[in-house]
Amino acid sequence: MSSDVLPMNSDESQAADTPKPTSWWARYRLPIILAVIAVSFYVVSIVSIMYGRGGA
Amino acid sequence: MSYSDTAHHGDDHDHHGPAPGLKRWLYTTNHKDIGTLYLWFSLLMFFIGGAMALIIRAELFQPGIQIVDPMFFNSMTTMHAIVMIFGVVMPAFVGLANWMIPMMLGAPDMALPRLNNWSFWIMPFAFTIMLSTLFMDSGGPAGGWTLYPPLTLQMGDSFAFVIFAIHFMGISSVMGSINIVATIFNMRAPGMTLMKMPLFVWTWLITAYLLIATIPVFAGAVTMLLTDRYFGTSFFSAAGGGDPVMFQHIFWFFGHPEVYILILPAFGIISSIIPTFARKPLFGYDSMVYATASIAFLSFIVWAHHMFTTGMPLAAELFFMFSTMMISVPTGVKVFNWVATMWKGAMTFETPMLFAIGFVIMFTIGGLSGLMLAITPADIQYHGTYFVVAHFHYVLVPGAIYSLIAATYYWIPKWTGNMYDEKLGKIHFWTSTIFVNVLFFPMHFVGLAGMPRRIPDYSLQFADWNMIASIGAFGFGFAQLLFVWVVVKCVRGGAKATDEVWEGAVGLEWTVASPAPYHTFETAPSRQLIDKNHF
Repeated sequence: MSSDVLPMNSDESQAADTPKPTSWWARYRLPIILAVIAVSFYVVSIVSIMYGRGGA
Repeated sequence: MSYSDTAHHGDDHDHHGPAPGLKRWLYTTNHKDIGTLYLWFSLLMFFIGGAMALIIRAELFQPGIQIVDPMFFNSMTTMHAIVMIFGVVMPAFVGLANWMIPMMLGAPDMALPRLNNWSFWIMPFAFTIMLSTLFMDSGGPAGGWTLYPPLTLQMGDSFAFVIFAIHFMGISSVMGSINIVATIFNMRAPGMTLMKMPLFVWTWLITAYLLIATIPVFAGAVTMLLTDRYFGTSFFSAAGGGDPVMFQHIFWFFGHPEVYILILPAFGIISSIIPTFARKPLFGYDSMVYATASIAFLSFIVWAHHMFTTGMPLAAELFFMFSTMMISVPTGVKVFNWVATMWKGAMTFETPMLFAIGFVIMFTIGGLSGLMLAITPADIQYHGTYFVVAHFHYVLVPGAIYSLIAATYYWIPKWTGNMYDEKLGKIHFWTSTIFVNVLFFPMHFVGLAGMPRRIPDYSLQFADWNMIASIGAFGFGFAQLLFVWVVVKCVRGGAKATDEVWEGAVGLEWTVASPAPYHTFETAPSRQLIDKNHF
């Protein structure tokens, strides 16, 4: 299985079972957003102590 | 044209079988291969972590320093926890997720197969680095798996290796979680709505979010430990204006959700097994989903119940006490639903069901002692005693580990195409269940009597129960060799499994052949098939 599979939309409101080809961004935005969130939490946990606690 | 025709047109990659030899395992992007790698890896780590546990119990067989020096004993308690949490339970659940989630959703594979390969292969490197510290001059980490400063900062230069390894474990977990979320949202077969997903998928979806939210915070905390140790910062050093208690807050902001990371997928497994062998639909599917989400939410606002003895304002103590107690409500919903599913069911007691029932009973014992620990004034007495050790081992061994064993017995016919030896499976269950209670129940008594945890020596008054616990430990440890024998025997052969395997089994994974073909659901399952095979 390669990584270039098409996302399958399970929304039952869509009548057709065949999804339209999607863009690179549509395909990868969810994992990218999750990765950005994870990295942000890492940075915030350090920065908040450096400045938040230090300033108190 | 079906989905599959569209997606795989001209994609020869998907139509060949596994590569020969070692290459298959090194380069594989197949979710089943990667699931198998995770499961064998966690089994290996289970015996490494188990050997550490037996060293601990051998030392505690009698009072006095018996076998190992105290520093090595401390290394064993620390490494045992790290190995069991990060090397056994978490990878095993990820392995099960890899194997089962695509099949349960009618998907051909995980959403990000190359990332999947990378997620796995980071783990052996991380644990090689971690375990290598035991052979270094300064020894392995010995300040407890919680890595509290200032104690943990006093260890030798193997500390850097430990921090490096933990970062790698975290990266692996986060990548695996992102992959699972992306798979669940992007790869479900048409018609597989969220509320038709098996509970195992639901619990993993919520667990993956917990991992993405908390592992980076843990990574931040250990990065700060590293800079305190090597780069002159004072995040957690009181001498430099830092705050060691702050580390505990950050650690447990990760650590308490981590507890649920270790148990929510177990809830999903048990919610799959009990309906099968009770031959009834799961009672209260919707409430199970909402209860799982509630537990996940509450897990973020209870962390300081691990820190009642550090001293905090009364209002904070009350908040964390009551929020912790609230977790028993959604957890109680789950236990009630499992019992209600069994109620008046046409039950049979094959090995997976025995382990599932064992889970429900003994996890509840661990949950109840957790409720006792939530009560602040009581916790101030129990804190740091063997009562806490008894509590979390009841949750994790007859809890999480039992769910993993149950899952293996339940799904191994689908993985291998062979039935396991039922008689040996039942012997495994009963020996494990007897010895696990002989091992952990006495810890309640010595804990309530005041025996502190993480010590190689103890007062004479605790001698009898410690001896009994150690006998239980060796019995439980040897019982797991039987498990390995059953698994190996099943992999090598046995009575052929049918496609459905279990009479009452529901789910798309039971609609494919046994053993599951290398590639499944290259053509998405029909809506009719999905509607016939969901909870």
